[in-house]
Amino acid sequence: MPSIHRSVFFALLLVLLVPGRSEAHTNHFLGPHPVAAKYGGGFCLIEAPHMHVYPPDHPNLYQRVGDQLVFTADPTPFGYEGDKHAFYGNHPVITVDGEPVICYIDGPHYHSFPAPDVPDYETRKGVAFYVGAFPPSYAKVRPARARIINAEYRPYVALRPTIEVAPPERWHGEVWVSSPAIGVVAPGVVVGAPGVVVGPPSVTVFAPPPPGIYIGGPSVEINGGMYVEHDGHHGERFDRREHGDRDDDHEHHDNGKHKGWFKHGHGHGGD
Amino acid sequence: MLARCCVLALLLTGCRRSDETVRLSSVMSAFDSQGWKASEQLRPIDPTRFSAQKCVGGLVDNIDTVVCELGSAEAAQRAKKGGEAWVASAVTGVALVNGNTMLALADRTRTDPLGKSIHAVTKTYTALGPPALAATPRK
Repeated sequence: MPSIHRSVFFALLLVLLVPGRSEAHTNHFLGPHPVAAKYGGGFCLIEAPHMHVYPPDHPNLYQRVGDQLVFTADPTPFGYEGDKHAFYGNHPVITVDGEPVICYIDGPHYHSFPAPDVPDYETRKGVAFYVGAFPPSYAKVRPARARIINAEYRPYVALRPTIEVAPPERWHGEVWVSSPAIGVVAPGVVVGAPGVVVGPPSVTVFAPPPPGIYIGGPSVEINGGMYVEHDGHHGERFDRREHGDRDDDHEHHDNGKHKGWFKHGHGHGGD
Repeated sequence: MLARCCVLALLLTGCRRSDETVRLSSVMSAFDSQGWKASEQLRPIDPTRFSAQKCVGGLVDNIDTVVCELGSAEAAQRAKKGGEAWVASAVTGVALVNGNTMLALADRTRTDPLGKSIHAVTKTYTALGPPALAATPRK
């Protein structure tokens, strides 16, 4: 066979054998996550392991657990309209095979699930602080992961929860400021980013005002060893424009919105 | 007499364990109780594709659905691969195993873009698990 023909033959063979980028490729997700804009956007509410033809639009906001993608970030900027629960700083999101998957968002942020009612969390004025230990890999992984994920959220500063709270003494996270243009005055440290004030020892953080903070009920129900459903009442709501003034109206939302999930090991439904 | 009692006790225990396993009938009942009329909507289909003993297929809450019953939990895990293959290129799909059953859901027509229906069905399905399968709370 002449060399030119041989080259054409091998090129054709390569085209036939190497699979192209196809929409039929299945992407495995674990838990709720943003829907790809190409498929209408919004927020996928499925908590169980599931598949989509599309890959995530923001892969940096996911962590891979086995062959599954876990959205480990704040759903607020991505069309999520369900209950929201305020957290401050890094914390575990789910536990898979005994290993926690960590949310690396610094500062105030929301999740669709409340903090579990365990000693490793301290909740103050509706804001959950993780005061437990991190796995040994955390210190190594955190710098790069935190830089990436916090950069992703820089455009969404206005959507972060407004928090006026002193972190618990057991909390050892980093105080977050929303802008690099910051003035610091010691000894009572005042950080003057847009609406951000940090004043130790009683740290107070103000951020631009979103609608409100929703604190979920404490009850935990575990479905099938795969994820946890926080059911029942959705606790107190206080309007952030009044900075912590509590509204005693208890609201109940349940339009199929998830209130928390996480997977433990590869139970049924998992791989 | 004692031996007879022991045998009887073992049989009773065995029966109870068997009853606790999630089966096709319990899945159908659970779906019916949610108002999805699974008994009307789901019809027997060829189970060999899923290496199963029996399967039903049809629409549950407007989502393409297959539920299969298998001889054991291990066989159900193997059937999950068949479920994933059945989902194929659907925009959204699920293949889950619970007890001796396998559930596959496929949204092929984008009727459930945010997964509300699929979430409701999977939540009902996974809730059927016996308590022993429940996990411990995360740290």
